[in-house]
Amino acid sequence: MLEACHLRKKIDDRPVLSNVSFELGGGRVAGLIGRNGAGKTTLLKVMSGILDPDGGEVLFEGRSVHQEPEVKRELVFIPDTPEAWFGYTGWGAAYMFGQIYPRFDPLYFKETMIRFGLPLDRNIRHFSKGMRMMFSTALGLSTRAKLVLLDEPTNGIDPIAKKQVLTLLMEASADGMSLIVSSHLLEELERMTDTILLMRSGSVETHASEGVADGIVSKLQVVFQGEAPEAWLRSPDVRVLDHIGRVYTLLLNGAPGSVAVAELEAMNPLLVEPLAVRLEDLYVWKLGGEPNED
Amino acid sequence: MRIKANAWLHSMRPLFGREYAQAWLFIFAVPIVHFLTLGLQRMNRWSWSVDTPRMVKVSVQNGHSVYSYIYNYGIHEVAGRFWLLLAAFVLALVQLGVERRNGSQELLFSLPYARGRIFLAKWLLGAALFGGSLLLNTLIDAIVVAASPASHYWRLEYFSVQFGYSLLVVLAGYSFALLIGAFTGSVASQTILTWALVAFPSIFIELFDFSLQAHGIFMSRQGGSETYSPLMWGDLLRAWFNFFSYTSVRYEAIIWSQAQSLLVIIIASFAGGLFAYKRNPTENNGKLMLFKRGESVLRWGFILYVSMLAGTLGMTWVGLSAGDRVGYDIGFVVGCVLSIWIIRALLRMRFKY
Repeated sequence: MLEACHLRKKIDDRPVLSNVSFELGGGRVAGLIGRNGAGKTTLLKVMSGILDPDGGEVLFEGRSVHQEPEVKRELVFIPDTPEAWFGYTGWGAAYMFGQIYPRFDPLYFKETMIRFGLPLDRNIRHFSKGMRMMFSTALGLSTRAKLVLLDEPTNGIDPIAKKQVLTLLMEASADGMSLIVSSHLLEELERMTDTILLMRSGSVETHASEGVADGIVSKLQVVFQGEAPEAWLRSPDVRVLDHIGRVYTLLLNGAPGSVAVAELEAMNPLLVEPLAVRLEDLYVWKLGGEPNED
Repeated sequence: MRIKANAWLHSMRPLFGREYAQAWLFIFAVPIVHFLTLGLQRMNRWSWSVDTPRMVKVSVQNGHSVYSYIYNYGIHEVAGRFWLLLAAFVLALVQLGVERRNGSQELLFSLPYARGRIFLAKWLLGAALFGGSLLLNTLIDAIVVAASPASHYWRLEYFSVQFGYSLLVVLAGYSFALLIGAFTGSVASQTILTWALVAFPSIFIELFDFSLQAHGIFMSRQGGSETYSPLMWGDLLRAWFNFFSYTSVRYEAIIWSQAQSLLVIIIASFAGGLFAYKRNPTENNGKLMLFKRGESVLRWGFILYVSMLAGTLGMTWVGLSAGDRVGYDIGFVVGCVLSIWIIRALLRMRFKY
């Protein structure tokens, strides 16, 4: 459905996207993660045609988003700040989107706004930050477009509203809508997505959400005999997540060719207990050593 | 054909709606203020006049020109044009400069419309607004004259020419303002550059002349009635490259070639604006200029402009016995150094507005 091919983009002469390529099939949900300033918003804006790539192209159902903008009748971008709707009421925004998106569902929009407790006839300018995000999400999903790109949809909203928004997204994906969700809520993303797009140094790594770190990293709780091997703990194949007393929680490089596990076994520790590897662990493993890219 | 046109208009409706939502205040304010400058002034002159039709005829027969006596030389139309031009500048600022700031441009670019269509919707809204205001107020003006003691001198050609010419002036100004907005990245740079470029031909010629004079080169460039000599190239430049001379022209001085020049400005500005808007690098919003080439032109133009200005000031302030040249050259070099430093800093900055 969506194909990003060798995307490149520089902003202020700094490469933000370098050779980004990935595919997303119909009805799939992808989580876009990465550190602040990694280029997540830039990637979403390039995919929605707001920014032109310096190289490469974005294809939606085989047609270029930039050359044939009419394909975006089935592709909607929801930004992290809906400032552009200031001056509109919920109804006003729905009326405009209803004229643009052929499958816009006003009844769904109304029901969702009521479900979120948002007034339909109040100016969006007078909504709180969280209310604005909920309104944006409701409006975007009401288009019933095949693909919706969401930039930090839970940004600034309280835990109850966050749960409501995530439920709404899961319902939309259950209805067959494809989503790309940029977020730092790793636990929620792990639960609701099929694919993880991890942004790192301007490129994207694609991981399946289920068994996200299989063959990449293993997580262990370890108690060493005697003194902990400081040099080994600082090696590039090992990352210490936690250390309480003599108990270490470690991430170990699980890629083929890594000898970290074998080295640990050779040390004959008192305790080695495997733990479930979460998306957060992969995030820390991949990006933990990198500074914010702001 | 008609079905196609209807379908096209239908597909453009959301864009027109969006533009209307941004500029609704103009839709009401522009015709009203335009009426204050034109229709109301004509009403003041004729609707409450104690003159009888016979008295008006006698005045005209006694040597008053119809256009000066009945139509007040057309100065109300000139005032109307200036008001509409000011409104066109502010509208272009709202449609492009402000839009970059409040996220509207990103919303529009994410919609399933080509950027060219978005730009066209903006231009059409402005053109319809100004065309509508001119048509409405010209009709009011015509009705006022037709119902006045001066109705004997009601001239269709007068109203037609004033309407057509004013429309060309305002559309030229509006298209030019949109063109500037299409390659500047902020409200501040759009404002400054619009006015700087409008004034550029006149000021540049003066600065260039000062520069030559400081170096002992004197060129005759102005003639005309004040010097009892034929018009020279300086006069022609002032007449043809000063936009305000197009705006302030009165009815009897309107000529076809001016109208043709305005048409060229409209077509060139619209085409240039469309070209720039289609290639709009959104990531540069907030900067002085959106395009690298634009930055280069601005950089060198600014340095030259400021250096020449500083040279002229140096010539005035540094009264050296060695003559004007030394003062000019000192000022020029100081201006050059300062302007390089200033423009480098300005081009790096991102402006909130």
